[in-house]
Amino acid sequence: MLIAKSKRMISDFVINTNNTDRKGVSSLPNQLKYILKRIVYSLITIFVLIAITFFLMHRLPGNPFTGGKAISQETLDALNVKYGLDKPEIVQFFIYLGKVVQGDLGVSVPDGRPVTDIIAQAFPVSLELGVRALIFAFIIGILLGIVAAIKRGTVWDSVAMFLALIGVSVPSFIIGSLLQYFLGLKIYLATGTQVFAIMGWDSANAKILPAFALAFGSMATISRLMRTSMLDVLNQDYIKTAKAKGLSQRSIIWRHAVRNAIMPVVTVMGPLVAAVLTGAFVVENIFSIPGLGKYFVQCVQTNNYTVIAGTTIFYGAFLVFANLIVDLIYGFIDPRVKLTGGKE
Amino acid sequence: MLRKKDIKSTVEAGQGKQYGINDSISADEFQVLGTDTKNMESIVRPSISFGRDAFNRIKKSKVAVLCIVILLVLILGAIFVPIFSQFNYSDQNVAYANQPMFFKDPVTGGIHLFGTDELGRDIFVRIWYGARVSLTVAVAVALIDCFVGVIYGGISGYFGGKVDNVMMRIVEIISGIPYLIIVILLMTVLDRGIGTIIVAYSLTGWTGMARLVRGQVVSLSQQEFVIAAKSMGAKPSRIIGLHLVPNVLSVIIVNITLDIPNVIFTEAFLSMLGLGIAPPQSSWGIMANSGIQVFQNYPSQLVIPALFICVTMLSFNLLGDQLRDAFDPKLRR
Amino acid sequence: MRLKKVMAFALAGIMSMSVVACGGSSTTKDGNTGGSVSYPGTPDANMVTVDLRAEPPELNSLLTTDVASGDILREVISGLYKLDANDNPVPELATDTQVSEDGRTYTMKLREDAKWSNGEPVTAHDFVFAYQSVCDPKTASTYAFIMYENLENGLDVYEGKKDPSELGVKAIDDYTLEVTFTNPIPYAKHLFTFSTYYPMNQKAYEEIGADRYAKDADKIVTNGPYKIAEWVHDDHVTLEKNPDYYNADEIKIEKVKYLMMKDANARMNAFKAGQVDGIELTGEQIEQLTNEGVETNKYVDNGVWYLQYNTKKAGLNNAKIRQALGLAVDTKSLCDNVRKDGSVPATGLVPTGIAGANETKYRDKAGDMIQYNMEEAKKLLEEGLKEEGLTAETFKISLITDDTTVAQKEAAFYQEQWKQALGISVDVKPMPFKARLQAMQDGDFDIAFAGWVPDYNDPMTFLELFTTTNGNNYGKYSSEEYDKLIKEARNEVDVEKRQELLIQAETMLVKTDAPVFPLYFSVKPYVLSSKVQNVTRTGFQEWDFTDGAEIVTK
Repeated sequence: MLIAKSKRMISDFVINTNNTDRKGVSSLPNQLKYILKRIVYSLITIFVLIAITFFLMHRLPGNPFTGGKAISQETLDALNVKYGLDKPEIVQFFIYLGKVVQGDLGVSVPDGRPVTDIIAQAFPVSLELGVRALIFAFIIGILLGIVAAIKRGTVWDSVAMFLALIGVSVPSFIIGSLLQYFLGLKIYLATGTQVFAIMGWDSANAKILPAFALAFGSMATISRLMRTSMLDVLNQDYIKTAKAKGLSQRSIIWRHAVRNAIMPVVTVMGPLVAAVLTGAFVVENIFSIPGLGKYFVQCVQTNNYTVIAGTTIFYGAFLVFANLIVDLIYGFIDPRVKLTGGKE
Repeated sequence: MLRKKDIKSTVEAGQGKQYGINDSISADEFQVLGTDTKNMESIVRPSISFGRDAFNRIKKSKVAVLCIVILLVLILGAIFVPIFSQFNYSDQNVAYANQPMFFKDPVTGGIHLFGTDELGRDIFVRIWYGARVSLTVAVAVALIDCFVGVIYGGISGYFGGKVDNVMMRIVEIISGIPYLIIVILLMTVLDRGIGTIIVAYSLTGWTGMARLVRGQVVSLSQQEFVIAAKSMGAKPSRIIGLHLVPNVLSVIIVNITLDIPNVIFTEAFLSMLGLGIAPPQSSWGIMANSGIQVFQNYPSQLVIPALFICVTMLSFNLLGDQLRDAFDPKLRR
Repeated sequence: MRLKKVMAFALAGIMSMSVVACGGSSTTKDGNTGGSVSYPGTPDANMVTVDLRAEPPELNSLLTTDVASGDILREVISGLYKLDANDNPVPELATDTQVSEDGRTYTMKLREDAKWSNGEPVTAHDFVFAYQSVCDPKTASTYAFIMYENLENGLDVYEGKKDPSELGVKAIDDYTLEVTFTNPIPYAKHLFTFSTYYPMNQKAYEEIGADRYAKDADKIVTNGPYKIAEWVHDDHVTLEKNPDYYNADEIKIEKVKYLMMKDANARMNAFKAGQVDGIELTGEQIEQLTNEGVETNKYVDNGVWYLQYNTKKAGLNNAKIRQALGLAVDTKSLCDNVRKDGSVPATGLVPTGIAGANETKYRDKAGDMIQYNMEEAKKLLEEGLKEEGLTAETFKISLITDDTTVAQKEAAFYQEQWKQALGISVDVKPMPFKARLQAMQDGDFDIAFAGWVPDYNDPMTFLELFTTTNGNNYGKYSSEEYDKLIKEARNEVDVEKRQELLIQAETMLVKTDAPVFPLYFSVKPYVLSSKVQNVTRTGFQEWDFTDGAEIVTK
């Protein structure tokens, strides 16, 4: 899906470039209008997300207090009053909605911690992991893509693309476990020094393996995209012109081709962020990293409904705005793309 | 538009080789055919149907052929191995659990090609039975995504205007909801089973296809060749049948091919969370997950399902790439 | 007296590997294997790092219910009594205890040198405040029952019919506490070691606020051997020795760090790489370590796992069929070949570690009540089906189970056993933990694969589950005779006679009526690095470092 989507974006992009000369550069009011429109849609998306999450949560079997031991009706009533679960569902929904608007996502029922506290503590960790993974993915992915494009049809191309395919073909929980065992434990047992820590997030050497495991899939996507995009650019007239002017190969590739070829890669940032976030569910568990992904999985497994709902809404909102921002930034950095519509 | 000269020169070029440069051409070697007013307007190169062209190109690609062979083997294996194997996917003999590959069963005398798992079940049969589950889920989800997406996107693109606007906003909202999270919620709410898995996966998955089809329909109907066909008076049925369908079809087929590995991935991931198919059935995700628990002792229990997942993903991904190239009209020769 | 049940199930699943194992005594190094090889553990000479597997969800002693929180609380809070390395209660804050003749009233002198971490002295009023708060429905303590069912006037206070001051707990003076029970309770001192019976400093509790109390390291006051130095949620808790603890000289380990690792492979890798000193093991990991020559340990966690039948369902209303299903499961093969962690086939409902009368173990006296018997199972099933007018083909049932890897694996095993031995096909329905419990509460199941861990160290914690009115009697088993036996046992002052009544009840439960069929008693296998010694691990104390645990320096 990710790949398909990114490809589609390139074709949009190409179509848009073809049309720009007719329409000219979009005016500022148009941009503002577009931004406003996008923000409104984003807000609607988040509202729907909140509603779906809320009502699904209430359809789940059991109540938040269901535990191995039956609790007396009195205790259950007291708990329901304490957490406001004694009111009709629709009333609860609007109360919840009102609270969400104020930035209050409720409290986690078994431990009573506010969900916002949990997110505030765990999300920065996930974010750091995600950013590290994305940096890994971009650097390695783009380099692989460039090599494959320049050496098109050679062994280099095949090797780079084979690596990329492995990346999209091996589930991250397998990659993670293998990296931990072979690079974490085996190196330690062989050398006696802890080159890569096995778990945790409190030392620099603990942050490499999980980021790498998480980057694997994205790296593959980026390198494939970069290769296609580079090939596209290398066929453009301005590259031919540059060649005709006698510029060096190096200068053509780095100053002309790569710069332009990177553009479409930026557009997949949104889907990549999503892929990295969900990938973190697995990787954080394997490496015992105190991030939101580990917490989320744990809450799914213990049916900690408020946290699942709060985290879902947070993730959803985060992704929606990440996409929005990527789109807007892309619009600003590349004047050939009209902000007035068409895209999507 | 009339290019009598062209026709003539073609005839000359075609037959010219039989004559020496200085040979004269006599008039009686020509025959008056009359004026075919009916077909005069029609200028077509020899008609090779779109499908045949794509097929020819796929045939030339060794990679694509290899992928297709692998996938055929997988599908046939999934269908027939569980039927003809002497072992049943659910038969246990815990006394011979976790046996290595090529283990000879002391009870039946049969060979466990891939060894046995933690409950003494034959891994070979379970792999192929798992292939049934994993591939069925993947293909069904991809087809549902495609079906819903094509209709939705087609309507949206065909009608355009307000309808298009509203329908696309709905898609935008649905696709804004994190896919995996909704799947997890649904799997928690609904009963376990192949049906549930398929429903849960395809509930939000169709939006990608809908956008793609709609985009294709919109952009194709503005393309020069469609406009040209229209201006030459082609009927809508001809435009749709000859121009729109083949072009959209290629996008759809490519997208299905790339969708399938994603579903296999998701299935594996959810099995890891315990949200997979119910025992005693197996799927690749379930097997990879239980393999990962024991891989330090019995590596083959992880390697085998992982290999099957990887090979399948690779085949579908590569085939998707090849199909995309084959279907790309720009690369058509 | 540790209430572990709630989380025990969830954890068992989540960890996907929490295991159980076989009988032995309750001290640390009992069932061991292998030899001389060992891993050195973490490098820090003052700190021990162990795995707790999950975040302790509730450190407020008034509310807490789970194992992980209990592990931390036991180290940081001193109650009236504490458990020694053999799970026997020994005085902690109570220096002199007088029991009234009717066995209902306990008058205790309290140690005067105990201090809270906010500087306040620990007094009898702290106990009164805690007990009254637990019995206040507004506190909404899930385990309030363990207090209000036992203390005089408890239920009336809880239901608001009597004033909290009438609860059976009084501060005679600052350092004299009087607790009055409704019945003579043979396990009263065990109750006093349990976290719901811990004291609570009213001033701190009100300053911090009930909602926020114990949510972070700086929002809890403690009075025990250790204090909480650092708590990074969902990552680790670090305890530091409390220099003000009255018995500080006996506490030999300066710091204890608890990790929360979820992945079994990660645990093992971290242990081998010296990032953690103590972890729980899976069956496969025991094999692996044993092959390397590393010594592994295990302790009886007093859990019992069983099949619970819905006695209202067609077919399952017949005791013969219920028994047949249980007897057809080869539990020895399950323990030896599938679980491989040292679990033992259940010989009754009450596990081997539970105390009996006069310092004996209940199980030793009660003896073996059930054993795998396929022939008997076939015979019983045939008779039962005939009585109910069913055949093996028309007898359609399903088994609900948790959706953890381990539970699903075991369910597949039972399913196949029934198919092979009895020729009946049973559907397995894996469900999330809470969904399973809800299905059981709603009576919406045929057979459930479930487990129970004791609330307190007495057979009653298992046997009371099957009385007609018990909220956990999901199978709707109802027998006047059984209810009568349990009631008589409750009122019996003579411990030997009481035990006889309990044995009668258990026999009826597992041998005659079979509303439940016990499958195995669980143990927890674990491994420690060579750095730490004398750590207490028992069914009631998952981790304890206050009974002489020490770091060995080489």
